[in-house]
Amino acid sequence: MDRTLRHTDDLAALAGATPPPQTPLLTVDVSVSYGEKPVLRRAALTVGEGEILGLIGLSGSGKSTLGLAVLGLAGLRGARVEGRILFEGRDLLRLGSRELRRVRGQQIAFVPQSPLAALNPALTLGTQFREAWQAHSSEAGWLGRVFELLEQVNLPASEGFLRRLPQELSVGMAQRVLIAMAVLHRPRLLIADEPTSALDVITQAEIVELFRRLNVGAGTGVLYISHDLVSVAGLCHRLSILADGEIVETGETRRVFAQPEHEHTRKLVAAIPGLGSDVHFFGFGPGASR
Amino acid sequence: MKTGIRRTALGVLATLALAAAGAGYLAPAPYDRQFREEPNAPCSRRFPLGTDELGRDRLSRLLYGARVSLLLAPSAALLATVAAALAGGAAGWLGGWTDRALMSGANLVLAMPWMFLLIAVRAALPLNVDPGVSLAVTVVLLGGLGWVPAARALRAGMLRLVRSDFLLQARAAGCGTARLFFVHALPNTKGLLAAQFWTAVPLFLLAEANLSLLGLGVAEPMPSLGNLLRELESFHHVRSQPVVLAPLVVLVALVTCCQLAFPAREEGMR
Repeated sequence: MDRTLRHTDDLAALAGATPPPQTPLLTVDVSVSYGEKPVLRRAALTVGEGEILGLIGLSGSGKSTLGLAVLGLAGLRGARVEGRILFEGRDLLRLGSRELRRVRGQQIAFVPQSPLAALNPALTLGTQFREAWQAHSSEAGWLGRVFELLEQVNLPASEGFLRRLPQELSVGMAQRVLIAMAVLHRPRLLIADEPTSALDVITQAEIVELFRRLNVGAGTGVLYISHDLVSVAGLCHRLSILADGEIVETGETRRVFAQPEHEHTRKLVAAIPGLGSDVHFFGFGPGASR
Repeated sequence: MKTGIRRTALGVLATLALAAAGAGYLAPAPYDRQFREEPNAPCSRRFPLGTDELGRDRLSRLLYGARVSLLLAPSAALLATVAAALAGGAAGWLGGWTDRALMSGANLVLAMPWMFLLIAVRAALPLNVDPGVSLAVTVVLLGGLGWVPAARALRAGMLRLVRSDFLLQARAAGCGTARLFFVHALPNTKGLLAAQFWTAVPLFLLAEANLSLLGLGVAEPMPSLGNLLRELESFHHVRSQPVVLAPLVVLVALVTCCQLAFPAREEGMR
């Protein structure tokens, strides 16, 4: 056995140790179009309670649109969403705007791709935390909860820190702030839209670890959107592969790496540096079924 | 160098503003007191800038006139900026038919023969209109006609904001529409609004001067930098008493210093 096989094993072994839970938290089956142009065609996936599902697709494949559709925000970008999005038994596409607002941030929270652009440059971090708190709660104890979360994400839990403006933060710090803000109300589901793509490798690893801790500690389900198969390998219980507007393959992370079924998945696995050609040699890679 | 010029401009502005604000203490006489025995008096110790043809002290009228103009132009600019924030902000924020309706209204204001409107409004007012009323009408007219360029800038800024990642994030956090607009969006237009305000002030100083020169602005006997310029109508008068140019010098100094102290900033929007 050589280094490459061990690499494959490593990636697969990194995949969530606990088996994916069976109770569905979120079930999506949607078609989305921008004007006449279809982006997603009956894209279907399920996130179980306490599960981390990786949604993998190339840039422009519609993964972010799917994330926004779950939050009921795809319309803002001019998209038309049809089908159903069941969250804890309720179809989010049938909810009124007021009910949907109560779901957003409280039950389903969002961690964006560009952390510095996602924080309001005119408001201090404290104001932004308070706003996120008051969107769903009139209780007074928000500051204590914010300090508790800042500690959890390894940021200074002080009033001085909350007086800072986003411009005074590094990208990594900004992403931690957004993660802390996202879990403020202990949501059941986090939608993370390429949360590490703007970060350096070390910060990437720290953020991925943070998601794992949140998942294990609070049982938060995560829909982790990414274009990078390797970065999600160690985090996600299962993977759904999006290609040409459809989910072409879903399976446990270990299995997807070891025995990719769809052509597109095989290409993705083969494209991982140091893995592709040798996987073929060991008989379970892209070339094996040809 | 740039900060030096800016500081000098701010200093001149502050001095003029203080002198205008303290007109009640600094002016040798009330602005409408007529020294009937001394019309068209030349400069003297008693009348440092002489008197006008009705025998009123020019220095006193200049101080009070600067006060009126320095009150009127920023008031009109504030009115125009608030109108622009509401109209431009709503157009950019709501989009759709609200945007189309508001921007059509803005285009209509631009397309209006406003001089005709001003003359019509002046004609509608009685001849012996109270100076305070004429002042208020001038503020409303300038503000009412001057909000369009600022509203367009605000609309463009708001359109960018609506599509911004941080507003999307605030929506994703569950913030309601009113909070999104007032707490999350509007503070980001502060820079743009301030730039629009400071651009409007010198424009309105000049607009008031133009209106008053035509007899449409602030009514006599209340002085303003504009109606004080009416003395310049006679070339012979200017030649014999060049001191009548004083209001022009003050007006040019004010407008120039406004522009130097608060340059139009392109990066007004955060």
